[in-house]
Amino acid sequence: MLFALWFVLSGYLKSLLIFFGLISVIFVLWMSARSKSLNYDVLPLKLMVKLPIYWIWLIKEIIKSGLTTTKIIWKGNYSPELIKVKASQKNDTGKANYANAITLTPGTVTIEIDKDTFLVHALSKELSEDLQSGEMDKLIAGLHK
Amino acid sequence: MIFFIALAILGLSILFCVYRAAKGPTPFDRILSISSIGTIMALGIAVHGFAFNRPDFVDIALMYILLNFLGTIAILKFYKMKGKKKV
Amino acid sequence: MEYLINYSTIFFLFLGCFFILSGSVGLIKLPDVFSRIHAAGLIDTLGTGFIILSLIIHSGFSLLSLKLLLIPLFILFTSPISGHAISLFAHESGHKPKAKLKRK
Repeated sequence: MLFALWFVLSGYLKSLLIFFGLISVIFVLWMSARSKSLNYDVLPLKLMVKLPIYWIWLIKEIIKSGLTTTKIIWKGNYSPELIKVKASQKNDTGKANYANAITLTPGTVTIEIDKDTFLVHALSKELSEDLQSGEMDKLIAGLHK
Repeated sequence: MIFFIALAILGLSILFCVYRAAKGPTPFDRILSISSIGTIMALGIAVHGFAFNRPDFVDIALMYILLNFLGTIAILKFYKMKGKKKV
Repeated sequence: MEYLINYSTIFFLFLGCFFILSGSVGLIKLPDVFSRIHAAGLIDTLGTGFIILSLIIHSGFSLLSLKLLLIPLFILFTSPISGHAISLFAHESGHKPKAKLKRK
């Protein structure tokens, strides 16, 4: 796990001077090992494989709902709704990922999180129905098996 | 040339955000619009770097975005602390 | 090829500018805090994405474009966190949204 984290960090610092990069990577590793903050949640390795497909799907979804939001802003007919959405993910990382995905698509914002229900503010009826169909929920639950 | 027109449009939208930050009824409006100003400003820095043929400005834009996020969270924490003390 | 690069740069740049402009207009037009967060999210995701895409096309593939790609990546991580924090604190401090709660 430590080696994987080192690899990610050094891949990020490849564009700078390599030597200073190495020194700072070792320093950061030393600091985070001292504070004992490394566990599964920091860098889930299994997730890295499936991530690009999920990102492409997420970008498509963002563009689709962004167009709807732009239409609502310019036309001015808006009818907001509060809905409750059930999350079927097992672990905490999956739930956090799902809430982030809801907030990231423009037009829906997660307001409050109970144990496994989210309170979501949606900008129009169309967007909330899109969310309630549960496609995003299923996909992220499959991601975090 | 196109970059200058883009910069003008970005400046116009920053003006809109400043209007909301000055007028906003609740503190959260002000925080939200200031964070949006930060994002637009970082984009403006990047576009400005391309407009004057000095692409090093991209690094500054990156730093700007990270600091913008930290600032938003810090102001929110501060506001929450202050509200709790009052009650 | 040169034409293609130039025109696609112009197209995506103005698409991003249009989204940012409409987001800031929404920041003025919409009536309460919770719906203004949507407008700010529109600025953060679509406007940034398209403008950075146009700059990447303009600069060609190099180390610089990799650095440009890091900007939307950071925004992808930080924007929902700050949006959620703002809405959570606004909800806790007693601002009621104008929408009604709908049961399934």
